[in-house]
Amino acid sequence: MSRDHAASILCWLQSLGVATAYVLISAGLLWMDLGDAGVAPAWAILAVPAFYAVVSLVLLRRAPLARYLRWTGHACLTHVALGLAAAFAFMVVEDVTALSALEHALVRLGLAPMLLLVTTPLVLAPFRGRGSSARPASRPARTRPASFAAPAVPSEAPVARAPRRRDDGAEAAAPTAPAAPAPAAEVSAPVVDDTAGDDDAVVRVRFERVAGQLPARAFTLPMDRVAESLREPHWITVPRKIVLPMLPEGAIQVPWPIVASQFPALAFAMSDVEFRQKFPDLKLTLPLDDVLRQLPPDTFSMEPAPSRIAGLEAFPAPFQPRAVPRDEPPAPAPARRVRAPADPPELPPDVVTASAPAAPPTPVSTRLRRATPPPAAPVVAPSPPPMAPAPAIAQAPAAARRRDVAAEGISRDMLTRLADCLAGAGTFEAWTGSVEGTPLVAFVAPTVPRDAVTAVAARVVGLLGGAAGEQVTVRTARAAIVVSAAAPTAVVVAARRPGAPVALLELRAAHAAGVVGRASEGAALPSRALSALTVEPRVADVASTLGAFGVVEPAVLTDAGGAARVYVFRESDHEAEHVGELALAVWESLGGAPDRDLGALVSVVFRQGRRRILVRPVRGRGTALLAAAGPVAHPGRAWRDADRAAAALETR
Amino acid sequence: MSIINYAAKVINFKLVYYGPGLAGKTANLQYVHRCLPDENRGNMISLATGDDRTLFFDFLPVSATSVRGFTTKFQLYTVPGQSRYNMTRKLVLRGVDGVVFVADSQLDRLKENVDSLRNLSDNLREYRLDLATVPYVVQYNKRDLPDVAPLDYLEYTLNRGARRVPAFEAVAVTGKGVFDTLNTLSRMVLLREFGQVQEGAS
Repeated sequence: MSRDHAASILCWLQSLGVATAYVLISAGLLWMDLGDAGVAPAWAILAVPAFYAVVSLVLLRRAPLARYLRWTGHACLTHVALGLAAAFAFMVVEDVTALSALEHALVRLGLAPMLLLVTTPLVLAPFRGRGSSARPASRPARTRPASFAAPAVPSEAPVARAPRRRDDGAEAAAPTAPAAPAPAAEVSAPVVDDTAGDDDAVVRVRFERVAGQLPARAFTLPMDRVAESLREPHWITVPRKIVLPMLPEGAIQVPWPIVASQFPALAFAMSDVEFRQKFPDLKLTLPLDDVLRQLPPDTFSMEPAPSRIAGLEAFPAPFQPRAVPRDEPPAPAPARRVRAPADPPELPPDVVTASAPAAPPTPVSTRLRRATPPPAAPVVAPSPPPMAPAPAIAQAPAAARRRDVAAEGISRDMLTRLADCLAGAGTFEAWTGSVEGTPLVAFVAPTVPRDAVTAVAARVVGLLGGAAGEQVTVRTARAAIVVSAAAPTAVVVAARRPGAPVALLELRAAHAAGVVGRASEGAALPSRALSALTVEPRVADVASTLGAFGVVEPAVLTDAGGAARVYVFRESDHEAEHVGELALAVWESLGGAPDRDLGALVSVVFRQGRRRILVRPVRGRGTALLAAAGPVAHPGRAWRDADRAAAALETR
Repeated sequence: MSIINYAAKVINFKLVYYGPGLAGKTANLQYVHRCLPDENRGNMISLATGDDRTLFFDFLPVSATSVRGFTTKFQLYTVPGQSRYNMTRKLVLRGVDGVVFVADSQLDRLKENVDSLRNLSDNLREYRLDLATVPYVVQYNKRDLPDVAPLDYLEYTLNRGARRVPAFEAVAVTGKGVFDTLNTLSRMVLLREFGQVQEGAS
């Protein structure tokens, strides 16, 4: 049986006990013939609801009118029910008619009717907060252990007092602050009591700042109406004693029972018991900035941190930075010399396989100062950088030897150096050759079809150069292909996706391209006749979701036939037409007929320094493309932003 | 534990930048890498996911001063901050000589800071180490952002253990506080290794 269910039964038992006591006492009074002073006047029948209405005003302060009326109605019904029960008892005790028994119970000027007026509120009292009255007294709730290895919250911390106020529903009684925050020690639950805590200092938080955490479906009123009907309209109050023990945790998460009494019963779409059963772990996380502002300034006062450590000054600062930091990004792993194969002339020049990391040479004399086991670097793969894997040249399959090698193909020594650049990024088969007249050197994961990769690479390599960038990454459903411009041959790296570390591949591929040589400027894209369409507000809204590209401006372009539409989002100082032409060129090269082995085109990203141009298709009727361009600091976020933007365009 | 190569007269220390995800640990190392002279720095290795989160760990070997005839070298590591990579964090902590706890100063990240600090303490305990004894500093990063917690509250949540340790405000992407943090921790490690009386520092 749940705790709430048991509490509900207890309420009924309490009420039943009070009612039974009333019936027995009334019957006793009748049997002893005490306190009967005649029949009350007829108008006295009106006095009963009026009496209960007055009582409701006393019991339910600051409640909505409906709540007063409802409580009064319940009291009247209870009054009648108790009267009927007493009348039945009278008929049993004394041999009187039913009419006479009802008179004695309800309308005689005697002790029994007077007692009935007192009994009715007592019968209803256990249900206070469960629908007809204020929200309930709370259940004990658990809080997290106070803190990690730190002193206790100063329970003597000066606490400003809130104005005294008496509420029916009861402010939650705060728990005493836990004395010592021993790790993993449970703190006793804060017990909310209807009768206590009314003079505690409180923290006030705007309801609007926490409303989003409440389950809207559990309320009959919209949240703005709920805010107005709070006990303190638009504010949630929490006793400071409850907040203080949570401060060391870095978040103030208040259990629902602490604040439940501040919500009007009518706002709920279900009973309190149901609410607690449906949301047993509901907590409101209070905004820390609001909370901290309301705490006394010396709440966190501690001994100052040590400004100096004895003996430290004997050591000069070990690191002296350069006056001006380099602008370059962190360099990838250094290219290491490849171990010479046992018999180099026997090996084909066209297949290089990155092997498992080679173990570093053991230091000549390395031992520990404190006679403890060596502090080994982490033992999971990949191994730490000092052990940068050195690819070994592997024997190629016989078939590979028959592949055409481009006449201008790079040397075997260069191929080995390129493989070295890719060390640690995966296992690849190297290939050099020419596809559709485009010389390529490709490192392709064994699970990815090489012919499909090189075909894609040959198509996009012509787009590189100029403003399009020095590197392009093509993501399809089943592969990630990184093509880096270099001379005399572009460098292609491809791996299976999902799962490929694309960012790492891009870094390593760029490094490899640098080893090959700088490419000349690419040819300009063929000019197209693109027409600008009016940018609808919904498209303009999408621009705000592309925050990873900086501030971008939207444009909608369409080709001459109107068959293709490009949603362009670019920096204000860049022409939308160029980005649109690039996007259409990409689509014509790659998107029209998805490769069966590689899967459908997902996205194409051109990189020029920090600037990226991302092109991806937008699902829907006809050909629609999203092209976003701008300086990108977080490539992953940019990719997700574009994904969201495309989704937003699709749904409209 | 430091590794000493008596033949080469080199002593290696391992410093670990610890903290919650996206707190700026990698940014610290990147700035150090950018600012150190070539002769003092090795190659930085960083393996990140597509959303710039450290996937395994970052590593930057740097060399520094000479103490008692030994060339001191520091290996700077970061850990992946996300909670699911705890095994990696434990491994990186193995043999640690000093710890920088990089905290994210933003108000809505405070709980993650506290959880991460608790996790650091737990992981150190597995190596029979303790924050009260290991050379350790705290860095409050991202102080340039608008929604940051007051310093006294950060100290209250993250630096009120048995031993108060040096704490630094930082903006790792611009370099503010990065070298103060690193130099202080390095000196604490040296002090612990060589003791109060230090000779021959150059």
